[in-house]
Amino acid sequence: MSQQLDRAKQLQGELVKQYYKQVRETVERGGKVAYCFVMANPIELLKVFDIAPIYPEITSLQISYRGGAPPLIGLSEEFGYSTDCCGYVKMGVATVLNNGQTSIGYIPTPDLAMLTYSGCQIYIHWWEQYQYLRGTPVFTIDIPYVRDYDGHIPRHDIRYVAGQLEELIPKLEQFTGKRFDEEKLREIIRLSAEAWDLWRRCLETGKLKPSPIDAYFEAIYYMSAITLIRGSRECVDFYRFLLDELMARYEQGVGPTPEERFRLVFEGVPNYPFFSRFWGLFRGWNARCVAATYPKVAGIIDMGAFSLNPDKPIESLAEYMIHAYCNWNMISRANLIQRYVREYEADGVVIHSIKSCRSFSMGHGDIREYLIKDLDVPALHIESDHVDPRYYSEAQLKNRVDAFFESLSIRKGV
Amino acid sequence: MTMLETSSTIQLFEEHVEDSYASFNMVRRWKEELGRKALGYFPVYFPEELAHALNMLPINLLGASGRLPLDIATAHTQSFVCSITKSVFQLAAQDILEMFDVLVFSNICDVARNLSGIMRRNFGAKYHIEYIHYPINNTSAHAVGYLEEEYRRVIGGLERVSGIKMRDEALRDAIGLYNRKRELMNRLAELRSEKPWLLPYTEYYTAIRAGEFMPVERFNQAMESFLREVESRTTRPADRVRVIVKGDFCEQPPLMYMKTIEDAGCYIVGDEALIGPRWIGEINAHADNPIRALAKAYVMNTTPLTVRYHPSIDKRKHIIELVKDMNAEGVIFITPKFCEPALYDYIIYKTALDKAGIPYLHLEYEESTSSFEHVRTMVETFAESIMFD
Repeated sequence: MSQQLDRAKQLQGELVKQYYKQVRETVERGGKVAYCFVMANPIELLKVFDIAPIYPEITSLQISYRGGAPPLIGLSEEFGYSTDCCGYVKMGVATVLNNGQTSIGYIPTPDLAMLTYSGCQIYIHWWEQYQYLRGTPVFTIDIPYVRDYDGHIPRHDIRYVAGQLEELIPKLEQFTGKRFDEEKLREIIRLSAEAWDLWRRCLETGKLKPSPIDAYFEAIYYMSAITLIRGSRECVDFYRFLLDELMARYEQGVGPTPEERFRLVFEGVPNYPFFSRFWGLFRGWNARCVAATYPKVAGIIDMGAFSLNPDKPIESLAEYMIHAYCNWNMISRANLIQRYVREYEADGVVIHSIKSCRSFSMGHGDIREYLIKDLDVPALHIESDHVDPRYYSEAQLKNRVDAFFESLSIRKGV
Repeated sequence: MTMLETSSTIQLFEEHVEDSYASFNMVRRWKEELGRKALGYFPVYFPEELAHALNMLPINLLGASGRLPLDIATAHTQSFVCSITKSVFQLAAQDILEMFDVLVFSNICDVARNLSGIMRRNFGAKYHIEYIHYPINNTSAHAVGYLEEEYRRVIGGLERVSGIKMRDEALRDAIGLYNRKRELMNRLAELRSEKPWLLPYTEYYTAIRAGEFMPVERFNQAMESFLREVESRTTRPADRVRVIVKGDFCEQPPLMYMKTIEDAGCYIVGDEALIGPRWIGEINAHADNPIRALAKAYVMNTTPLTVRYHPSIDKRKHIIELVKDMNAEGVIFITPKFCEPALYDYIIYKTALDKAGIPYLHLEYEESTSSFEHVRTMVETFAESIMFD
């Protein structure tokens, strides 16, 4: 594939740099920094108050991607955190213990910690560490788990989340000294909604044959914009650019691998310290991920679960906050994977469990059983970690991955 | 002869406890004798009153404690999860829970939450499976109303299983009975804290665990008689270190593990065994709206529970006060393998204890742990370091 049709990744890199620059500028002009989670953050509302978000999940994965995880994990483990604690938490706590100094530069420490409890129980414990270690105020929004197995959301859940968002507004006014501007919120939501819609369309290009996108390994680069700069014109422009690039790839018959031999659905968090080599295990077989669940952690945008609506800003934010991928129950998650296999005409499913994240990984064995035994869909279940290089065993993974593709080849007759 | 008329109270408790790992014959017998359905709940907390008021026997699913292989469960879960999760799945997979009608899970951790879904997918045809999302923003003005509606949603499902409608009067009666149960459990815990030489930990644990497998009326009656018996004992105190144990709020440590701690020179004057059924304290049994009273008691409670966040709780203050109130000389953290909530609370507590100069020890366990030499050595050293300090 020519570099001409792979420019969005570079653009994404520049946007990330710009985002950090904006955070620094906010700090310099006396604005506040909020630590936020990728799942369910009400960033549209925080932006109204000129609060700059830092996402320790993203800073940790960026550090890990560049090989900088071990010293931070080591620092936390010396402090007393167990090897069984989440690597993100250990890196996030170590970053703060280290006064923001990391291998990728200075990460501002939090003025407040925005606790959006959606899809991850460890979110609570993580922010609690900042509360106790450095007295960071924690602002809490409790988001009920999607517990009805037909995907139905009780009205009292939406009312409860929306009610808490209403309560958050005066707290943010008091914290920042700025008045709430509803019109500004509507405008940010309008921009967010536009970006979400374009992002959905980008991901859905995976339905094309051959797929112009690797909706897992490439999407991991592309998805950072929807979290980091959502609610801005730049974010909308980025996804429009990406969509054009993907369609141009399709028209010219090119894609992320020289050819498309296998179409996969991917479930689980990637391995960041060895990201390129990990991707290589699949790319080497000319396999393209046509759909994946991980890019939906910030919001399941492609099943009509939620859509931001500037006319109902608070209620639609509440609905978005409920539909983070890991906030869906395991049956709904398994059904989503099944739907992806069907609608994206995939040959098989790869499930990558990670030691750190029980929210994502607990029950992965059951999804595998379901796919293989009930649906006759080939599935591979492998394990490592997302940030801790100690749990990556490439030789072992390669054996499993190769065996999977060999059996897929026989099944598919290719 | 009914079950209560066996030779001694402690034997009655022991029979229930021995049956509560991998057989549940007592649950079947009580169901038949009383004509009730059985509701099993995964720790830590469930408003047992709701079940009782709907003619159900609430049973705490505490795992198989090493009495089963975990092969089926391991294939369905993941490598890095705690044993209780696997053993509860295994119990269902081997049909050992067949006498249960309802299983309830809640948001104590990610593992238990996901367990609810895979239990539902595999065994949803056998049991009515519920999941309760307890609020964590308990300082929000919306929390009580939300939980009340959540309880009403759950009640709707339970009514379909039991075939009867929830009546306020029945719920008020149930709250009264469970208030009494909590009072008795707490009385035993206080007695242990005040005079730990009167009953070894093994007896204490057996008594309170039995309460999770007996009908509340029978348990209360038995517990009253047990308390009288313990209070009349004349055992003399030994020279041991008074310790608080934290971490045993969900997965059960082997009883031998706790006995080893005591035998290594300690009195366990406080711990978190079966904390869920007693943590909530006294609930208003005369409220016009008893469902709301249950919700309010949950939301307003500011006693820390590792699996429940409450924005206005100060855990550091709590641990220091607890040590003081219990007149304890040290804290032993025992963490179930892979239990993240306990591992994070450990950090919060340990930094507070460091600051206050209170000694502590951190150990791990699994429900199937069978070698205790390491525990003995660690605790002996810990106890001696306190004694000779």
